[in-house]
Amino acid sequence: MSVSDTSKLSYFFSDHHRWLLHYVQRQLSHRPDAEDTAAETFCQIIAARVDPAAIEQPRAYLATIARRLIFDRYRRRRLEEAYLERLMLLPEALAQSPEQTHLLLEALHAIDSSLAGLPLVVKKAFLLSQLDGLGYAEISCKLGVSERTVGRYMTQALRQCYLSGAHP
Amino acid sequence: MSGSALGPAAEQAIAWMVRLRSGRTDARQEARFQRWLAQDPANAQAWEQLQRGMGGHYEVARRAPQVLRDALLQPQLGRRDVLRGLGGLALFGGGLWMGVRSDSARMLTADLRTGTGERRTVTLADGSRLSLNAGTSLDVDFSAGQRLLRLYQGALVIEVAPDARRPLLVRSEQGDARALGTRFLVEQLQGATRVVVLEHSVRASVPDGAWLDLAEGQAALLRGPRVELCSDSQVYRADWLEGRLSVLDEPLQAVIEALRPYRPGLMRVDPEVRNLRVQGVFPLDDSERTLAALEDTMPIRVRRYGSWLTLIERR
Repeated sequence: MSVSDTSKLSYFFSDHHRWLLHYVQRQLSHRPDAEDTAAETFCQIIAARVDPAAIEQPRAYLATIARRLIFDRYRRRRLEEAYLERLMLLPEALAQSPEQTHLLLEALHAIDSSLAGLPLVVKKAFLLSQLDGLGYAEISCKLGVSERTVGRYMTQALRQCYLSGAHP
Repeated sequence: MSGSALGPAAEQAIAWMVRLRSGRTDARQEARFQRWLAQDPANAQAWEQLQRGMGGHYEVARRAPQVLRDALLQPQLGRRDVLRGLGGLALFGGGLWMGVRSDSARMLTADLRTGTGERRTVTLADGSRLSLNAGTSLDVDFSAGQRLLRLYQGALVIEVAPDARRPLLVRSEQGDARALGTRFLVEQLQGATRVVVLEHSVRASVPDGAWLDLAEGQAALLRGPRVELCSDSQVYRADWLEGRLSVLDEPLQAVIEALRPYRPGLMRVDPEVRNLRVQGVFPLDDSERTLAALEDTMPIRVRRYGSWLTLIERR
């Protein structure tokens, strides 16, 4: 990145950072969270190598990116809370080290994002196959649907897996 | 489903995966699959991409106890549900699921507030000495029956003036710290509250009734329905009173969080380096020097875009 690109971006950030932070804070009241999300929004602009001068409506543009990031954070938070609730139910012997928890949460988050938007029953069917290795006969029993329906659910979930496999 | 955006090779790869996972595959089908795979490089490519999308993370999840994996199976919430709140309603970051306050408007109108890089010590009406870290906001609510401080953001240390008739409480999003004649620290973290007793003792409690008496030198986290006693002394958490940030083996992210209230503009740590461990004592009032020290001793690079954006990433 050239010096002039960097300084163009600096101007862009100094013009909009206050507005963006305020915008994000309306939804993420925890200030450090809001700051991190606002910074991440700018990071995406840097990564996309967009010329800030070419953005016609900078605030609408920033808001679109920020909303997506907020939603993603929201999903993650919800997942973490569900995880922690369940962690407390675990018997001592299965207790997870902080490192294990970190790795597992990362993995769960990636899976959660990859399957985002699918109906719950589709996720259930897919995870029973993918994580537990069950065949469709067993899955159809567990979920009370026909084997053909299980196949259809699998197709739906696998389409999203395919898309998330796009970037190695 | 018709109208899929995926190409024919991708759809065929998916159809094969669906068949092979059914639990009813035979040798003939397996052979047909192998033929399909060899038929066209595009097929092999599509198969590879599908495998990637079903790889790594699932391996990790598979090894985890069932009950933890089930965290994935929560009812769906649409993006629209989440973002409908835009325009005033604070949706999360604080008390979303607990239904507690914590919107930014309240922080702006709080009785006591410190800005970026500002620390302040004040004497309250009862003679108690209250010190605020940078980026802190709270309300002071003294009545005939009690002395209540509501902490919204940041950290405080209070040296409580004795008053047998009016107990002093610091209330955070997660619960209360009640002075039993004392000096202590309360810090609002994300989703938790830290209480550290510097002198005498404190009763820490959460709304559903769980409580714990903390002795001098002890510390606890209020989180959800529990008061968790910390295994080590955390008296160093009050070092900001002297403008120092003391770090004993913590992730880089935590160090940057502590620095945030001392630095204008936005800061972000790349997820890749967030969990690098840090040790040391850093000056809070010179965040540039602290960042330079971190850059010297760790495999990180600090990039600055004007004074409004600072990015910390792997070198």
